[in-house]
Amino acid sequence: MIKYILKRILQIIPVLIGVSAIVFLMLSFSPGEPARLALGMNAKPEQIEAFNRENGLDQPVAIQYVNYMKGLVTGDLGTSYTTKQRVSSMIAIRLPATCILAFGSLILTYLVAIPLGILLAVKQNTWFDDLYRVAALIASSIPAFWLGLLLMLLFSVKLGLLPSNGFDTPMHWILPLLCSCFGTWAGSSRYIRAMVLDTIRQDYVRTARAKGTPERQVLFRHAFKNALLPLITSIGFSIGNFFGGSIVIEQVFGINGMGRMMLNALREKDIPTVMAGVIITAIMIALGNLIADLLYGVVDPRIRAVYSSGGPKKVKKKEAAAA
Amino acid sequence: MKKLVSLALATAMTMSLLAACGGDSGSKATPDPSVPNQQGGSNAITVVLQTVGNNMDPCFANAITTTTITDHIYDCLVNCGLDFSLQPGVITSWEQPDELTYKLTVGDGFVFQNGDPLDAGDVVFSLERLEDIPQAADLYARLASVSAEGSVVTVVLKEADNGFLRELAEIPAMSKDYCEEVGDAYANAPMGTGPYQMSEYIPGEKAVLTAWADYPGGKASIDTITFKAIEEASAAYIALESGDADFSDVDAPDYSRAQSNDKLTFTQVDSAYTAFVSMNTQAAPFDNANVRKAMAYAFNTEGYLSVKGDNYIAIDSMFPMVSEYHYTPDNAITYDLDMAKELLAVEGYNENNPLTFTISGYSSNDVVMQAYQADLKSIGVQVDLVTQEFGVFLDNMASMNFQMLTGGWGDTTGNPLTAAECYWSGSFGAQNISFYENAMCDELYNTAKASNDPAKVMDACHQIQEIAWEDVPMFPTFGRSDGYAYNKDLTGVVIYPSGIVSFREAKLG
Repeated sequence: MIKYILKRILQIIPVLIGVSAIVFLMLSFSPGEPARLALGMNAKPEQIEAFNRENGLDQPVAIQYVNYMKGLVTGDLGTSYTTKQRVSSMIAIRLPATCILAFGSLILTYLVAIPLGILLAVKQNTWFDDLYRVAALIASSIPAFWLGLLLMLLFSVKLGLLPSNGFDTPMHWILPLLCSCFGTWAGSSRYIRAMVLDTIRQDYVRTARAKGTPERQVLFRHAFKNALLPLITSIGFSIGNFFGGSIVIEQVFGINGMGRMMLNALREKDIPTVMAGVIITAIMIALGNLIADLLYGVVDPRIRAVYSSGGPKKVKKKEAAAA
Repeated sequence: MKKLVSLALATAMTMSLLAACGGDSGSKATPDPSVPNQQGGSNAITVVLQTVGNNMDPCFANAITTTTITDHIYDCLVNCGLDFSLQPGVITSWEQPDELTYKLTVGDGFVFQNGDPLDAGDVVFSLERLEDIPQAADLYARLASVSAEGSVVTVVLKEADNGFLRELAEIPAMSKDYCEEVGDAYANAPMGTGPYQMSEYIPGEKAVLTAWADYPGGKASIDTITFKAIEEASAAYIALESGDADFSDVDAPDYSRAQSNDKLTFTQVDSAYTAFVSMNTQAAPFDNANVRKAMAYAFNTEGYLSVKGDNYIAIDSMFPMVSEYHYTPDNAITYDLDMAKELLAVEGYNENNPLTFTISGYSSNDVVMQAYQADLKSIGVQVDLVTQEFGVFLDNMASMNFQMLTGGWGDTTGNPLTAAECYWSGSFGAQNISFYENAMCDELYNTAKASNDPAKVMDACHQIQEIAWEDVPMFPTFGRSDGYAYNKDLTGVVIYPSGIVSFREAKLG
């Protein structure tokens, strides 16, 4: 198992190199001069030249990339062109808020969506199911940006229950998390409903019922457990979505997170900051997928057995033919 | 059931862990033990700004929001009043023995927040450090020498420049010893002679200022000011309505709501902001004055106000509308599509040979430019609107890689030469973004710059504005009257036309 995990972690490295190379090239060849943005429109050519020299921007792009990667390997994410601060310290300030927002949204989404999805499957084709279908359509159509403002008006201005902005205390987290989860609740619960309905029609479920197994056990032990595999895949991808998709929530609620940092860095063509943000997001997505893969093993003993033997192996052509 | 309880516990633990991650993540400026109430108290206010800069060195930051924060920490060398009148700052008096020399007397009783007294050497340092700051190096480049003797700083300019004193209103007095001691860390731990000290600073998120107990002018009334960044205008206003903030600027759509809220004071302040349309005079088709004039005739400034918003005002001068130099010449062009069509026809543009060009901007969904595009289309002119990232926009502008562009800028010092530079060939790519060359304008600019006679300066500025409407390298479009709302209990707030807001004299209750 450990061998498999290590193997998967090592596989993340070429992914990161690929992602970083593509993003670095895109940033380097996109129009706009970092020096002009950092120094302002009154900057003299010699000042721009000095800025480029100081930040290694006078080197060919390939050398710039190699230098950046050399720094990255030693844990140096570089210095921001605009803020003159270490990128690592900028991220240290912002990463906690984004992690709370991303993982909090993930937990809250599935904490609500799973029981709701099962309930919808049980109540299939009832008025509750129909009503929820309409509600889900409306909920997933509301832009997070607008919903955020509505939530603020209701909970902060009208009811005076919750702070309207910031992310200092758990009370501050409630509205951004609600806003972040609202649309995904609708989609995820419908997805879980469909998966449970799919398994509920399987022979083994019919057999369990025929044997007189109580309905709750049929639902949770037989139907839901078998519906978990595609759900885990969906959760794995959601980690990346929540992590990368926090920009709007951060903008509306004035949260100083990674999304806002990345957006500002992109506007200012601050390459070290953008690169660090992209690499961290890529790591999160890769880890999310790794966790999902490992959870397959927890849920399905057949997959666990494959992991225990060091992970899935390629079947040789000869062996396959013999089989 | 056991599994459900385990799941609930696991969730609770995860949330607690996340909570632990979230706490106290900011980079705190070194707190001063002599400062009381560093965590804020009942006599504290929260001010919403669109951004909280990532660098608290005001010369580097070059942004109104950062200056609003740092103006409480520093005293500037001189000050600008609400009407842009020049007022004493750290330099309490000045004289000009000859056209190149200024004798600046540094006032008594200014003390840095670390207890060191401010002296003339600090003022010299504050000017000399500008050499290494691109955003301010232009001012330093004008100085031939700076020296101090006793409490008098002598500045010798390379050439006569009557705007020099005004430019000092942007220069904070800094401690030479402190800056040399902390080096680059200065950007995160500013220290000046003002009434407030920085007690907490999270770049991009918030800056907390605490009233300095030993401020020679007496401790400020408000104990703690928290400047907080909320970029989205409606969210900023909601923070104000919900009581999470005490002061915010307000966007035009929220004006009526703010006006009818009995817990808020709403005010509008005429701003030094000037929006404009500029044309590249060095390349076709706008190297032709008639074509440029036609473009000005086709711009329906008054008509576009209905789509622009309640806080915009039609203007006809590149000199800020709050400046005494703002002037409407008789030849100022007003909307006349027929005249525009006629001028284009004279230059050979018609249905068979339509004028085609691109307008560059950095603001997405610019409704005014869309309306302008429709107006131009009605006289057979085909226009493409291109929205660029600000960096790309600046790059293209500096390298003359544009045909027509739209933008806007503010003014913090009221120096008439800044606006006059829009038509001065010595300011290509900086203020003169239409790369316009006119020997008469250059001569008038030099006259205005060198003269100490206010009437002569005024006359030169008026003449420049007349030529500007004759040749139309760029044309002004809108000024702005900015809206602000704040807690009714808050008094003594001073809002400058530049957009800088001061809470130095503010009181609660």
